[in-house]
Amino acid sequence: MIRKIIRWPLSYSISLVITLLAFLPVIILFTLASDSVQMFDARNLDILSNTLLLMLFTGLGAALIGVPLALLLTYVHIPWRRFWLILLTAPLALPSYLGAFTFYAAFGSGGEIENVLGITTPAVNGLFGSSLIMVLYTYPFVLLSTRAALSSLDASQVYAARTLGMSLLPSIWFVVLPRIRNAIAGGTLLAAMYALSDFGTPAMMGLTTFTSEIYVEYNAFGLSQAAMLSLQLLAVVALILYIESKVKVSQESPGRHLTFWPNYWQTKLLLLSTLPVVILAIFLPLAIFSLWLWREGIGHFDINYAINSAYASLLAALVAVIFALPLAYAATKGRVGRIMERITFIGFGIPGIVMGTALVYAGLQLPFLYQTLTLLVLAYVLRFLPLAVGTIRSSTESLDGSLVSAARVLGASPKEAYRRVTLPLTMRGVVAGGALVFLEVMRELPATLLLGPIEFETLSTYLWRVYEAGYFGRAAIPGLLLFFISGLGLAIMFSTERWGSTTLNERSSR
Amino acid sequence: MITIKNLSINYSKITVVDNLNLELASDEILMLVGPTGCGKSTILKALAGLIPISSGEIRHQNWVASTTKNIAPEKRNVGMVFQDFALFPHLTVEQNIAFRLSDNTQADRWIDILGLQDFRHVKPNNLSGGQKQRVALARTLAHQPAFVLLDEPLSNLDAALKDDLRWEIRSALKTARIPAIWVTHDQEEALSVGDRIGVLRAGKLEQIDKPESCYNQPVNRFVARFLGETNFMSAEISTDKNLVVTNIGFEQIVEHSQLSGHVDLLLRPEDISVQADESGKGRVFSMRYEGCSRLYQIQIDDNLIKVRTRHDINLQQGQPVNLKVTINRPITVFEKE
Repeated sequence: MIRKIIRWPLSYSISLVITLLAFLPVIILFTLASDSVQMFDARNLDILSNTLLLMLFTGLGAALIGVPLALLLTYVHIPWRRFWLILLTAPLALPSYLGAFTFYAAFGSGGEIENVLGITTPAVNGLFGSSLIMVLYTYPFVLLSTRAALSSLDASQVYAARTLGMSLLPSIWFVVLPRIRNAIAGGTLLAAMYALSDFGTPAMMGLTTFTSEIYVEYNAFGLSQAAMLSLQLLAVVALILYIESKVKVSQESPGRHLTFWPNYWQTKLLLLSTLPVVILAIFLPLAIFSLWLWREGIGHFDINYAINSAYASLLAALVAVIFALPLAYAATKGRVGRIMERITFIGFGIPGIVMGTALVYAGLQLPFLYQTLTLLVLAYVLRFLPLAVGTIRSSTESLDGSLVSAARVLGASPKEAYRRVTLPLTMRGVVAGGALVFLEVMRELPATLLLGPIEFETLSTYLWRVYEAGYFGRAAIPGLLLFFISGLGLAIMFSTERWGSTTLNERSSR
Repeated sequence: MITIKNLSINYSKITVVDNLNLELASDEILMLVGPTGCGKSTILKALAGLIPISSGEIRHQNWVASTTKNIAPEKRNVGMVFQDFALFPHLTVEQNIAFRLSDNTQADRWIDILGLQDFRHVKPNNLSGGQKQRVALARTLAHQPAFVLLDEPLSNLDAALKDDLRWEIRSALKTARIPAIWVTHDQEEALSVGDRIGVLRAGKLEQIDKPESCYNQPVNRFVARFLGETNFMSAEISTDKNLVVTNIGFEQIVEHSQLSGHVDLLLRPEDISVQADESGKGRVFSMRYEGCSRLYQIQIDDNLIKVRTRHDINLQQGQPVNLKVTINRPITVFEKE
C-alpha cells in the first residue's frame, strides 16, 4: 500500500498461457482460410442474406413477445409471480435444436400432429420455421433485460403523465418505453446473436445460414471453405458485439415501480394469453418426445451415449474450473489480470461450429490429437471457460470488502482467514461455475459433431444422427434426458439468484 | 491503554496522517471527527495493523508496532466495526458472532444484550442495516478485544435509526469496559457520544479534548465551524483587558488572552438572545423554524448575526430588535483574519 508494488504474480504466468490458448482458434482460422479459393461469391450472398433475415426476424419476434411479457411480469400483480417468471423464462434453458427437431417432426403432412389428431398442419421449416423456433427460445433475453429495466423505473413519471391527463396505454408508450428502449435493444441483440451462432435449428429446418453451411462444407472436405465462412461469420459476430457495446443501458436510481391489480377475470385472461408461448416452446416438444417414448419404448437407446456425454462434460467442467481459478485470481490482482480475463471471453463470441472447424484443422496438423477426447474437451473448455471465470469471479468480488480484514482483526491468521472466509466464499462460485459448464457441454451439439472421436456418440450427437436417418422415434430418451438436464441448469441458475445476468451473458453467443 | 507517538502514514507521496500523537485511556470512548479525506479511517486501519505506517509507533501493554516491527492484525487483540459491517455472508448470525470462540458464553451474552435472539440462525443478507450493525458489534465485543475501533459504524444507516443505535453502541462499550476509537464525520454524533473528541484536518489533529471544551473553546476557526454554527464578531481588546463589541454593546473583562487590539469574538447562536425593541439597532433578516427552536439571522449594520431562540418566540421579518449576549463561560477570541 505504501509503495506501488509492481510484481508479476504466478497467477499471471498461468493466465497468460490460457489467454494465448483462447486466441488459438482465430489464428488457425486465418491460416486455414488463406488457402480458400473464393473469398465471396453469389452463394455467400445467399447465405449472408438468409442469416441476416433470420437475425432480423428473431430480434423482432423476440421483442414482440418479450416486451409485453416483461410488462406483465413486472407491473401486473399476478398470483404465483415467481412461478410464471420461471416458466416463461425456461425456454432460455432449453437448446433450441430440441424445439427444431420436434417441430420438424410434428408439423406438415405425415407429421406427428396429423398422425395423432388427423389434422394436416402446414410444415414448419426454412426461414419461417427457423425464425419461429428462434423466437420461441430467445424471447426470454428480451423479457429479462426489459424486466430488469422496468423494475428499476420509478412510477412517479407515469403518475405525472396520468395526472396531466394522459391515459394509461399512451403513458406507457410515451413515458415508460422510451426509457427502456436500450434495454429492449440489448435483449434483442442477444436474441439476434443467438440466432446468428446457433447451428442445430437452421440445420434441422433446412435453412442455409453460415452455421449450417459450414457443416455442409466440412462434410464435403472443404475445410478451407468452411474456415472462410467461419471468418465471415465471426465478422458478423464482431459487428453485433460492437453494436451491443454501444447500446448503453442507463441506470436510473431505483424507485417503487408501477403495480396494477387486475380483477379475477382479467388475471385469468392475461395468464391465458401467455399460454401459447409456453405450449409451443415447452409442452409440445415434451409431448412429442413422450409420445415417441410411449410408442417406441427404450429399446434403441444405448446407455453409453449418456455416459459418454457425462464423462466428456465432467472432464470439461474440471479443466474449465482449473483454468478459471488462476484467471479469476489474476483478475483481482491488477489491470493486466483483468485484461487477460477479458480476453478469454473471446470463447463466448465463437460459435460452436466455428470452434469445431478451427480445432478439426488443429487436429489434422497434430495427428496425435486428431479424433481424441483431449481435443474435444479443449474445444469445450475454450468455448465455455468464460462461464466458469464469470461465476468464480463474481464470487471473489464479494470478498473485495473488508471480510478478510474482519477475520484478521478477530484474530485469525492469514491461513485461517483463507480457509474459513476466502475459500468457502469462492467455493460456491467454483461449484456453480463447474456445474454450469457441465450442463452446457451436455447439450453442446456442433463442436461435438465435428470433434467427437469415432464411435464416441453423445446424447446430442445421437439426436442429430437420428434426425439425419429419419428414425425420429429413437430421439425420445436423449430428448427427454436433455430436457431434464436443462431443467437442472435452470434450477442452478435460480438458486444462484443471478438468473437474469448470468443467462444473458451465457447465452449471448451460442 | 493505547499510545500513539509521532504517527505518520503516507500513500505513495501523499501524507495522509501527519505526526499524530494521542493516548487512549482504558474505558474511554474517543471520537475522531473530521471532514471526508482527513485521514481518520486511515488511522484506524493503521491501529488494526491492516496498513503499514511510515513513521512513529503504536504502543499497547502487550505490543509495540513501529515502521520496522509490524504486528499482524490477529496479534493485536483489537476489535473493529466496519462501515460496511463486513459480516461473513456464508455464516449465520450466531456463527459470525462466535467466529473464533471456542465457548459460546460471550456470544450468547452479546446476543442477549443486543437483542439478536430471533436472528441467531439467519444469514446476514436477510438482516436490515441496523440489525447487521448490531451483529457486527456483537461479534467484535464477544471476542473480548483490548480495544475497539469503529469506522463510521452508522453512516450506512437511516437517520431515524442512527440516534438509537448510537446510544446502544455507547452503552455496550461501557458495559464491556473496553476503550474505543470511533471515527465519524458527523459532528452531532461526535459531540453526543464521545468522552473526548479529536478533530482532524488533513491528517493533523487540530484539537483533542472533552466535547464541551472543543465546542466552547475551539483552538481555531476550523474546529469552531466544524462542530457547530458560529458568529465571529468584530471586537476590540483595550489595554486594560476590557473586550468590547461595539455593534451590540457587549463588554467584558478578558483575563487570560494574549491578544490585544482588533480581534474576533466567537459567539454560538445560543449565546445571544433577541428582544423586540422599536428602538433596537437590529432588524430581523430571516427565520428558520427548527421544531424545538428557531434560528434567526439579525442584521446589524452590514453584519448578519445568527441567534437561536425558543420555538415560541416569533418575530416578524424586518422587525426592529435588540441583541443581548448571555454567556456564562470563558469567552473565546481569535486574531483578526
